[in-house]
Amino acid sequence: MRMPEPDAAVIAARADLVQALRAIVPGEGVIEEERELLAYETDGLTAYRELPMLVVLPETTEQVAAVLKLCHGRGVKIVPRGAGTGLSGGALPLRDGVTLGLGRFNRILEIDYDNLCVVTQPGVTNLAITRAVEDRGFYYAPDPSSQIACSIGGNVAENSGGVHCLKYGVTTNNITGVELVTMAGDVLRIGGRHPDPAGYDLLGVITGSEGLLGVITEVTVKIRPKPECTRAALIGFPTIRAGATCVSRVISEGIIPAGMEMMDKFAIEAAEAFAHAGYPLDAESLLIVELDGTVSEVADGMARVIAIARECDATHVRENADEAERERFWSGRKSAFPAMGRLSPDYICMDGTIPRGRLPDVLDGITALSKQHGLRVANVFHAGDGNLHPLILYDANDADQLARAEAFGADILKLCVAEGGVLSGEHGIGVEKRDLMPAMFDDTDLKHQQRLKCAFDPDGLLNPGKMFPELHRCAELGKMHVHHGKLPFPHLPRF
Amino acid sequence: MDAQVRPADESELVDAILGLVAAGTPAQVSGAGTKQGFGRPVNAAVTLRLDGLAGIQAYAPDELTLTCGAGTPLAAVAAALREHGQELAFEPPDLGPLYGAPAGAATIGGVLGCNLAGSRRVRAGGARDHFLGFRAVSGRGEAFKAGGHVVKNVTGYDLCKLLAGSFGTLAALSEVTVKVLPRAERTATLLLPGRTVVDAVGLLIAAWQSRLEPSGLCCVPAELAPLLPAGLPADAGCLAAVRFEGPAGSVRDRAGRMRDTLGGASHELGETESGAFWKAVTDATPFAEAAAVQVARPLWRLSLPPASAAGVIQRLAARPGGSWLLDGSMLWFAPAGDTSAGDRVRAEAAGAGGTAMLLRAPDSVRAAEGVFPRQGAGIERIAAAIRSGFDPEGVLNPGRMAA
Repeated sequence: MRMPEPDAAVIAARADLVQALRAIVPGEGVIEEERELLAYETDGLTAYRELPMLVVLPETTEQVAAVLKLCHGRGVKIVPRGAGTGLSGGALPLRDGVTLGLGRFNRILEIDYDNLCVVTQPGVTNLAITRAVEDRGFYYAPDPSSQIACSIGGNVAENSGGVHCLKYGVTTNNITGVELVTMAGDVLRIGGRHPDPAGYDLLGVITGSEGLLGVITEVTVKIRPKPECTRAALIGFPTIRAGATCVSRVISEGIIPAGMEMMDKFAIEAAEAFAHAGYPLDAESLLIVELDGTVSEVADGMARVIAIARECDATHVRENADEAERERFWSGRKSAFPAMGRLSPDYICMDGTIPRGRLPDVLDGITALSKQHGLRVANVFHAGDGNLHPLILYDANDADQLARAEAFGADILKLCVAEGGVLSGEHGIGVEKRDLMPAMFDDTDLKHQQRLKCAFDPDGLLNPGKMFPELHRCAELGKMHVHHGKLPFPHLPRF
Repeated sequence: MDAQVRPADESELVDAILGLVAAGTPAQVSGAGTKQGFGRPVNAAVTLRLDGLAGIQAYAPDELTLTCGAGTPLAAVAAALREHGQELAFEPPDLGPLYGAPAGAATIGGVLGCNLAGSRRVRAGGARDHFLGFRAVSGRGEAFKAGGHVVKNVTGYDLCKLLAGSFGTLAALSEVTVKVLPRAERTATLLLPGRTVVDAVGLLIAAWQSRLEPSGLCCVPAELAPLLPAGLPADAGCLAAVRFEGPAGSVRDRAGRMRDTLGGASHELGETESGAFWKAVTDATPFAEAAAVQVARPLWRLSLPPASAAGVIQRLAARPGGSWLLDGSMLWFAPAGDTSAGDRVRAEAAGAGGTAMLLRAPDSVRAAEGVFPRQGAGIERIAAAIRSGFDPEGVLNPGRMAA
């Protein structure tokens, strides 16, 4: 993976930097030993590894600000890191960079039921927020599959989704405020416990900015009352197309399920062998449709979903009899990744989104690409919102297989874009899809995005090498190449 | 008379903005021009109208997306969606009449540019939450795009959020893609009259915390009740209103259970009355009455942590002559004619952890006082840097947000 050229002068001054950082974060908060640094060499995208120059683990916003100010002054690059579960390599270290871990920011600061929000430090896990409020009947809606481990700060950085985001939205729709420290060390409080604060929506642009704009030190999330009733149905189809048609019909008829997941035959078989979830092994595609709401509404909705499914030639229809069975339905889907781990030493998970109607054709395309690259692929998707997660199986010990897996993944994402979709639905760009950005955005588009970066971090020290294939210098981006008075605009009135 | 430029397509929009840059002439950017009084007054001799960039380009009901020219009238978008039983779930308000403009003329680009949402904000989110992608021309005269045409996307920075609520100060939108959702089959509204402010706001929060999924929560003082089109009882105290939407059986069930839980006297509005009532709340219609007279009357809109609303209302309404309307987290407040109201309103909002915006006032007042809340040096420095990156020559709506 091509990364920014390491700065030899910064590496040479490492010992001095350690001393200065220890003055800010005492004790074991500064890590310099190689064997300890190894724990930080990769994140959830394990195909890429790099040893960070140093790791610093501050405990307070003041320490974060002082660390950033120090590094800013010395021209040292920073890689922010939450729990290290990200799937696009957003926390991949830099050889001449300091990895700034937020793991010690692990406290929930306030639960405010009257304003339906929780104020939390960024290192708290996604699931811990729900755990903290569930005894009063509330929860935090976005639920990435890694929710037991991933941190809320990382969720904000990646704008994480989950299986319930068609109905409840992704992270950006479920937070109202952050505290952010800029690369220069300024502490900004953006938003609060109220919606739509006036002014440019900096909260909106920070969410999903992949650690390139600032370091998040506090988050205010919305909580919701837990639905009164949740029911799921497991529906098998004789073809992919029949399953896809069913998904479209459910939505066309005005039903927005809380979750609607689809798996192809390979994924069904692997998940069933791993989790014994009761999946029908003769189905070519399998849907899990989950509805939530009041008891009567869910009952009516489920009856309609099942009627639609039967009209779409479903061969297997099973509603959950009890909560244990509903959990079993999900256990197969949620273990799709480890199930692949049993079949192959390594896999990479892709993340494109397509207009849902294109699903059967895109799957045909993926099958053809699988043959072309000589690698197996299993497909799981968030069918409701068209977010695909093809899992490409390969062996990392075979350099040729890794190269083929990368090429296969890139071809899938280009196919998604060609069909009117996007490179990433919820995992982010990071290093993984960085060089594919030009498949979706032209140079003018990317330069406008980078102008936002320049407003926050004009020196480009925060997480460089991620998201953009090429970082333009901010001074260059600021220039405007216009020759005053020499532009033709003949068909417009003069003024 | 002021010059007006009205491009018919994106390439004409590029030429128009390059023309502004070349001539060193700033422009007022507008859709149909229904909310020119919103934001600080812009000192520009040219108006750049975007309502020529109109028309629905793609609408796929089962994909839940619609793409159209930014200048497409909201009414046209709503009509197309209604044919397929869908709608814009953020319930875009029509604020034109607050400024003396005709009703029903607003464009979708204008609503997104001002980030306006109606009473369903409490359940469905704001305009920003439904804005999936765009094409636009920045103040550099360059056409660019961001976001996408699908409902779930994290590819690159979320510039849709940046442009929502940027009041045309960064780029002129040419095309937008929005998320659309099924329209509810049925609507009912529970009205709970004769409450104190504290009691009414408490009821709204209880409803918000309940599992009964209300989609509108508002509180109306008795003196405004007659202005709302529902034949409301004009007795003393305030009226709390809770809306339920969904399939018919579910709406009946939830409204009934909420009535039993909250207790006390109540009325229920059916389909048609509910529609009229919430449209009036969303559009802040009580403050548009006799628009010609009222355009001069300052009107504030506060965004508040919901539980703080009762205290803020009590303190602001302690001086006679003011009127207010609480719609979810959003408090409309028209003070009596004392000149110190601005400082008081801003201080109350800030003290409650919220913000206040001067939604309407004479030009001179908005120019002097500002419209948007101050956000501190750090944030304002970044906002200024974003603006100079997107519009280095300051040709798009200069001064509309920050002086």
